[in-house]
Amino acid sequence: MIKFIIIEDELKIQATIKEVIRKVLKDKEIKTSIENYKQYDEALKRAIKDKDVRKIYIMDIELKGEENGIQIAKKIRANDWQSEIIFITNHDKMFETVYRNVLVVFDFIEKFHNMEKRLEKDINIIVTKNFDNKLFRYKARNVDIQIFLKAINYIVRDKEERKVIIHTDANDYKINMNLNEIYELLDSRFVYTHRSCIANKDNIEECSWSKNHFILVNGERVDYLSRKYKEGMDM
Amino acid sequence: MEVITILLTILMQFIFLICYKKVINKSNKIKTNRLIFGTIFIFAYGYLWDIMKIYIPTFQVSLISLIFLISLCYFIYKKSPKETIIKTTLIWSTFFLLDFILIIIMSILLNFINIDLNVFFIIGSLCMYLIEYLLFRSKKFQLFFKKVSNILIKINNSYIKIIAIAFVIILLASICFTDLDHLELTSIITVFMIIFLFLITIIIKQEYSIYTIKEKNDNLLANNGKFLKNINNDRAFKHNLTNKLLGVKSVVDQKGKDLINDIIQEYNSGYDPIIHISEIPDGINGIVYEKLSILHDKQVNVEVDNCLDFELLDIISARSYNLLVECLGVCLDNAIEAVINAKEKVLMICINEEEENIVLEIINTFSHSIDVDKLGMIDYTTKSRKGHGLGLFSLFEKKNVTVQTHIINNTFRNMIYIKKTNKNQK
Repeated sequence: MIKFIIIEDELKIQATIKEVIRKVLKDKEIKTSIENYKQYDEALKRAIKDKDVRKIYIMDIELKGEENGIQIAKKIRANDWQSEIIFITNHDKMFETVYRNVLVVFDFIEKFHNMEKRLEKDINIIVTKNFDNKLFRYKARNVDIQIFLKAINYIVRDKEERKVIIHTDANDYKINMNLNEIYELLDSRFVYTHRSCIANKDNIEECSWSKNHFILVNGERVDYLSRKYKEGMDM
Repeated sequence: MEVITILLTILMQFIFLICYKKVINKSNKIKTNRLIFGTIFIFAYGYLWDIMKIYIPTFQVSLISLIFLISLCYFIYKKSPKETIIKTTLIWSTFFLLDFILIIIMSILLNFINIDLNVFFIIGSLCMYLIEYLLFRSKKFQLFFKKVSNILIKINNSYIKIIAIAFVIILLASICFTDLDHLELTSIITVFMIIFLFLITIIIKQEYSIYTIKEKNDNLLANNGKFLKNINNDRAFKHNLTNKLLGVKSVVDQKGKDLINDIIQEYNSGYDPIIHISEIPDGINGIVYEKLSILHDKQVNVEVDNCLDFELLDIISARSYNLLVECLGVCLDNAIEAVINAKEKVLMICINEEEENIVLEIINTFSHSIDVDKLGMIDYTTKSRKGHGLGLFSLFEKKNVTVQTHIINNTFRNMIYIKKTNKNQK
């Protein structure tokens, strides 16, 4: 079940968005529901709090009520990183870069420039990828981290400090766990490539079994590949 | 009767030790040999006390008893001399006060009950010990006692010396002007006078600290104003310079024109903190401007989201404002240093209001290795240079401000919670 939540105060745009959703999901056997809101009110508050269904928010940034789209998105992200957010906007690129990172916004679509086509494409990707917003969570003494599983490239054991290092495109995180413990918290896309390494299959571009390394989609070479784990990798 | 008096004295010393144990840190384990020697001392003292009270006046015996108890507590529990003296004296004073009140009550009761005086004395003493024990057993009283003793322990040594000297002077002066027979009453009055003077000193100290914080804040606000003035001067300077260069451009050759174009482009490209200054509340806008001005030509995407529509100093106290500025400075410094080296450079400042707090959120991207378990610990730094690692640690240690750190989706998020206050509470 997927719930589409449209937050838009212009009825014409609201109708267009609804039409696009119906068009995309026409041939797909997915149970869906669509809810419309003009502004942030009690009903929307309840819909945000409802964690039982997967949600796709499609919303305008400029709204007539007290809260604008960005503020509503902040409220959503206060405890929900699984839902997808698509903004319908007219803002500039700098604004977009910031909120794409900070609020994990799936897309910013310009209202008067190919809106239908972009929205159609976005909904298709989200539905096909099956809402890939699963998180790895870890709580340390002073900080807690939440990393999207899709962002993790590989995890290796740090021999010196008896920790594991989680490698993503941008950063590395050292945490006090062992590989088996962390493996239990991951999903099926993660496999052992070496006794000291777990890798995200989706982010591997190529495996070189003869040279004992694999290349990631971002071009990084990782020298943790062992023939022993070839079967499990299924690539 | 004499044996019973000795036994009661010994019992009192044990009750005192139990009460002392209740108000000190319980992690300390007492060594058995110390406990054995302590018990021997108590028995010896019980016997000596019985002899002493015949030859020495009651007041001096009480003072000797205090000195003995301080030495005993120090010998058994091995706490710092200052803590031992303060806590023992406080317990002793509490006992002294309770004794005084109970004696008055008992003497009133004696008029109505027909009972043997010795039996009445034993029952009275046992009741007194029970009340003293129950008082120190109560968690509320323990908390109150610890608070008071901690205030005294934290006081500068020179203050304690002044209080001790004041005690002796006032006591001697009182003795000179009063009858020596009422020495106990005089000493109680003296103790109360000292407590009163001490409380006055604390209040004055508190007021003085608020005054200095306010003065510091005035300076901060003045500096903030200067930064804002500089912004306008910079803008005017930039505007005039660009116009002058455009004037020169019309009379130079192509090479000169290209050079001028380059200069103008250099001045107009990159992040300009001025665009956000109107969105930041007064009081912190100058500081934020000063910090963010480093980001000019660093290609950082900066966004400010301010939900406050009132002055900061209208809703937070002077002390909180001071803390807020400090936390903001530390978090912004960290965020700026991290964002400059990040692959995708994003920095966001959010200022929100909750029912009880003002929430300042600083979000930035970063690109480096982090030891999640060591983050916020003293001397741990993500920077390559040594001598860092105190900023975040000092924030986590602060009492009147809550700092929460999250890493979500490769963004570092520091949330600073400052309690709001009523205007009349400032």
